[in-house]
Amino acid sequence: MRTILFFLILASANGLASNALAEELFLGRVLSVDRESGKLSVALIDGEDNPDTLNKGGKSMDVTIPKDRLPKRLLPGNVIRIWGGVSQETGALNATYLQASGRGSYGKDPTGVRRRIGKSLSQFGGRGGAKGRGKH
Amino acid sequence: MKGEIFNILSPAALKIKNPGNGKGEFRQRPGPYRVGKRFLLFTGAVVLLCSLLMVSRSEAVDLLAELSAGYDSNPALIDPSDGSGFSIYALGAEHWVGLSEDFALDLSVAGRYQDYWSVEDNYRLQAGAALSYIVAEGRFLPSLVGEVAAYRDALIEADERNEAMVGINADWIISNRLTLGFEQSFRWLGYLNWAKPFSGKGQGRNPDNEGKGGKNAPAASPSSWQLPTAPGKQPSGKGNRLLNTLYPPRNNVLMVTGVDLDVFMMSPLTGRLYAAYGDLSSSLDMESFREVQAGAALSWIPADQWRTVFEATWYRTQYYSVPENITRVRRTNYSWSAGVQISRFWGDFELFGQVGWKSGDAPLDYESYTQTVIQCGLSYSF
Repeated sequence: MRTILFFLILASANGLASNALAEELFLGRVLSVDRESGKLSVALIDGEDNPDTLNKGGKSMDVTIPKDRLPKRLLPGNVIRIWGGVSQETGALNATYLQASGRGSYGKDPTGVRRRIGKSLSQFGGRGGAKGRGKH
Repeated sequence: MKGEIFNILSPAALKIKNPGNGKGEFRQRPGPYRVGKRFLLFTGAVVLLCSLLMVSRSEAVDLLAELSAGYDSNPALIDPSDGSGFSIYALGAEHWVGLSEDFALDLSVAGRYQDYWSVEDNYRLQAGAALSYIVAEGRFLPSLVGEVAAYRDALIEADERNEAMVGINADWIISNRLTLGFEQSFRWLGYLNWAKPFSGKGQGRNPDNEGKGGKNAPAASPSSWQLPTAPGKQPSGKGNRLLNTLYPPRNNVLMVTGVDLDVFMMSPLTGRLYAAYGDLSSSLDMESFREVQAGAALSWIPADQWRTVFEATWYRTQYYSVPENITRVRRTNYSWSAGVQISRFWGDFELFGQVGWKSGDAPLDYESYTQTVIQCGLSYSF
């Protein structure tokens, strides 16, 4: 039973890793956002060594993503990381995941986990959350 | 007058004073009173959460409401410890203002009340601002940051303080897979109460019978100078006396320099390495310290709408101004912490569960402590 469970976990992890490895990572600056349709226009700044996208550096490119995966605050000018691949048919970048840059609740701590862990465990300011004379 | 205002603000003001001892000590509130207060707080939080659901969305203001409950095995970071269940009620609001194409201003306010079920409570109110400027087409993002805060703690009264912070942050997006962050801040910590040395949380003094002073407490009388010492430790005359004297509220300045590196490995997997150096200059010299902190965090998205974060941190704290004749204080102390959180998202809601663990040295009397915190909660942001 344990052997079967082990192989199931291994297969799931392998499938997950394979999907993730098939994706490319792009860096782009947001030009416009359409929340209703889940479409963005971005200027690519950096990406993988893929000839399909390399020649688009600095140019506008359409990005599509499921609406519920759009970061909450996404504004023109923001630099974002885009995980996905270029559609051979449309030439658009089909994104599976977007990550906003910058500090605060919409950048490095989008779910607040660091803030929560920091409140209960950190000693002083900086990387965690709480501050104090010694321990707080 | 000022002191009276602070008294009203303090969670201690909510407790029932013991009229018998005349020393300002507090006894446990009767059971029904505590249950009634918790019920009111919980009901208030639920009503607030529901009313927020009915508020129309705004592009410029982000609101956060959070309710969680759990168990803390060691709220005071002492040994032996007294555990307690707790509830946390938190609210926050953030307002973003675009001043120009390159300048942006973020304003935020937040409050958090931690209601311990069998020991005293604490809360923190804070307001902050960050002025950001976009450089190199968004790849370099420096910010000027400021914050004011008030922290009140009826369990460790020596920790009650007001804070003001200014600093700079900067994020440099090196490549599509790496971001380097930098932080430099100066934080003023204005404490409110008289306290014996090393009375802060996790510093070795038991809050039940030591360290409490109050806002206008005089220095301790000679008859109260003698304290029990750790087994095998000999009191050293004047040094021992220094440790058992009440000193005026501290005025401390904490300087923090930090760097962090975010590594984007795969779409479901992001790592973070960080290190920081802190230098606390205390108005009571012997409490000044230098601290080095290093840690790592790993964020993993195992499935759509799920997120898991692991984090571990190591600290080394050195109290460099402890007088030579004080032998009861360990100058170099180490502590470790680790935590894991699992979150599930439904639109604007997040359900989370968290386990945190911490173990460390408390400098006074060479004590040490461990703490385990388990909590789960619901967060709503829009």
